[in-house]
Amino acid sequence: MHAIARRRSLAGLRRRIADIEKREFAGIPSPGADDLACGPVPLARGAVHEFRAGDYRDAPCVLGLALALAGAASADRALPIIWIGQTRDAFHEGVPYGCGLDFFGVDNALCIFVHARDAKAVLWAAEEAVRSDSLVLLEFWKPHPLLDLTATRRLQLGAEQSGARLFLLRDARDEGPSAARTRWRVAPAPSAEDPLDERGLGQPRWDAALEKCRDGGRGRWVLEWDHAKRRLVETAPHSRGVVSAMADRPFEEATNVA
Amino acid sequence: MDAQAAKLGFYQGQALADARAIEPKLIAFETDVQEEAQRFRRLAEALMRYSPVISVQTTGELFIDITGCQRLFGGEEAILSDLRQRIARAGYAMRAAIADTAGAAWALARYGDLEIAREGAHHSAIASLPVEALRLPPDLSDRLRRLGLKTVGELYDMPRAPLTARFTKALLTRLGQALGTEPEPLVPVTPAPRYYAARNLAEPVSTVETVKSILAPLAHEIAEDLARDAAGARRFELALFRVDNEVTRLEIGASAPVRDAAHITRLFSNRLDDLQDDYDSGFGFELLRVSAFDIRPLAVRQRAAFDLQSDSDAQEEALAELKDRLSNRLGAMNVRRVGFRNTHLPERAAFFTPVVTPASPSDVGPGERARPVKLLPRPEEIEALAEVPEGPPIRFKWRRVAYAVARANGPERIADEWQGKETAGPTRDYYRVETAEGRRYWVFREGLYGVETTSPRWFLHGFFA
Repeated sequence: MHAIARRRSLAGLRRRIADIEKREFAGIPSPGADDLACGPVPLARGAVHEFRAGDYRDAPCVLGLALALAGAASADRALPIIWIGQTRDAFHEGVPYGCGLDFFGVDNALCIFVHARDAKAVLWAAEEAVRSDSLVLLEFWKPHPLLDLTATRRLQLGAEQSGARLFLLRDARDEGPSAARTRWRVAPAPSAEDPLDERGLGQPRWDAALEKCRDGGRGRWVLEWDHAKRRLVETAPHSRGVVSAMADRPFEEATNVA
Repeated sequence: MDAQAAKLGFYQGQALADARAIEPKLIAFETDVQEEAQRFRRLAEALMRYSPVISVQTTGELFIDITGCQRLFGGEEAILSDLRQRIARAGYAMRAAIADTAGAAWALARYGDLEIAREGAHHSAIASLPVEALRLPPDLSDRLRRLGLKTVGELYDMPRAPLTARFTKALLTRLGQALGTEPEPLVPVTPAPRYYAARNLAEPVSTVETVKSILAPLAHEIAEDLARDAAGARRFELALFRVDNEVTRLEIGASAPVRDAAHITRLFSNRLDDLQDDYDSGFGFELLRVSAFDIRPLAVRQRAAFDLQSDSDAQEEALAELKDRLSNRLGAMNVRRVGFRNTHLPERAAFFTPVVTPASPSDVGPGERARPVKLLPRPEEIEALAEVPEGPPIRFKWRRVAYAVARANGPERIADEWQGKETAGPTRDYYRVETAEGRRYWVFREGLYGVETTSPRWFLHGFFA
């Protein structure tokens, strides 16, 4: 009996701490704040957000989600987008395609494409980039020992100082720890029917699962690019049943604690 | 031609047979004119330590414009003696003279005994020299001699008009150039910078750290000079002059005119760090020079003391500095922006170009058509199965993995460009396809079925989000 009471009070205290942290976190409005969100989860400025692909073939899909978020973030104000990758894999993975960016509302003129020879140069470029007021897309698909807790923490610190967002795109097999504020696992989701063409593709959809979040939430959503409004929207869970199997509690509960 | 050879009676332009007559044991080699010129040019570059303005006249003859550089070395005598030692150490003989004009210096070096003509003294210094000292064509000096005009000084008081009439304009031009009344533009080996700052070091330095520590005040100096003229530069060069006459040059470029000392220092530091194994200080560097090129106007602006975030100018400047840092460290070809061509061919429609090249107004985006986020540089052939020859695929195999197509849009027909300089080959019918898992690809069928081909091939070209 005693043990149960102790556990209960401990849980209460934990919630209060989470509550305080969240309130503090929301209480500092950063200058020129834009409320970018991936589903119901806000993606804070001045932070590293990590997006992982479960399958190497899903890399373009994860990249697309990051671009959609970048487009949404730059909707209100011109935000330079610095896209960093390694030169090596151009023929295998393809190269960023300038004509495909407009679709997500990303202004080509504001994009800088950085290619670096090796992991070391990639991280150097990312650290330089994240210190400017911008949005950094860091493609880091091949696991590398250099991208460790220290490296991600350095990126995180750089982002905190400048207010930049860094989207770290990596492989889910890359189990290295990271200091990212949020961590997502992204997979493609079948699109809805095109209203004009019954066999056609609808707007791109993603199956995004929040695996880690400093504010304690977890969850899984199907997101769709709303091309007219230039933003990501949540869609009703579709027939295939995206069950939040990995979520130990739904995100809504965590957010409604306050 | 050295002194000993001259004493034996050899001269330049002598026929080999005549020379053999004087000295039968003469061994003849063919000169490698190109090699000689190259070596002399390299020597000239090493001599740029004295001044950034060096002009090679012919192989074996050069002008150094040391205007304003005397103080750096401690006077003209010091420069001359340093030069003499340096040339001797390199294993050459030389004659040199310093004068107000290039013409007078040439005359003194070739024919005079005086090595340094003080300011304004070149007039009298060359008066007693033979007329050949004026760099005249041989026939002209011969004619002067035949008329009894043997020294330069005798020409000073001659009436100008008859001189021109009898000896063409060349004589007066050369005379004027020697005396400083006619301009003589020198073509420098490398473009002369308007702004530069240099340090002559008493003790040679070799470590990267020391070089960097000297770099900072130099950058500061040049930044101040630029600020005074409300100018900025788009290109900077750091020249490191080694004790053994080797020169290391590092260049940095900027996308927009800059003059921020800290920024310049940082760019050079990055370059120095990047040299790694190529960094060779030999026996040390004894002179460092930072020069600014590509000068553009840049207004002097008061920086906002507070609230840097809201200052969009500062933000833009910060972005330009970031571009420079990335471009200089990773190479301009690796830091790029996207440009567009007015073409239907997907692989040609967008291209990358260094971010430091300014955007042209014709760079208009392609609009909002559905285009992949990543494109394969070369379309990859796939095995595809379509229900009808003209329809989208229902199954395809790419990189040995089979995919079932759940949804497809298309075709979007992209035909060979009729203006066609580049041939795209047969017509392509593009489809956007989605697999059962939701992966989206851009595939095309090459060739019109029944018109251009009977068995069209399929390719995968890009990836959608």
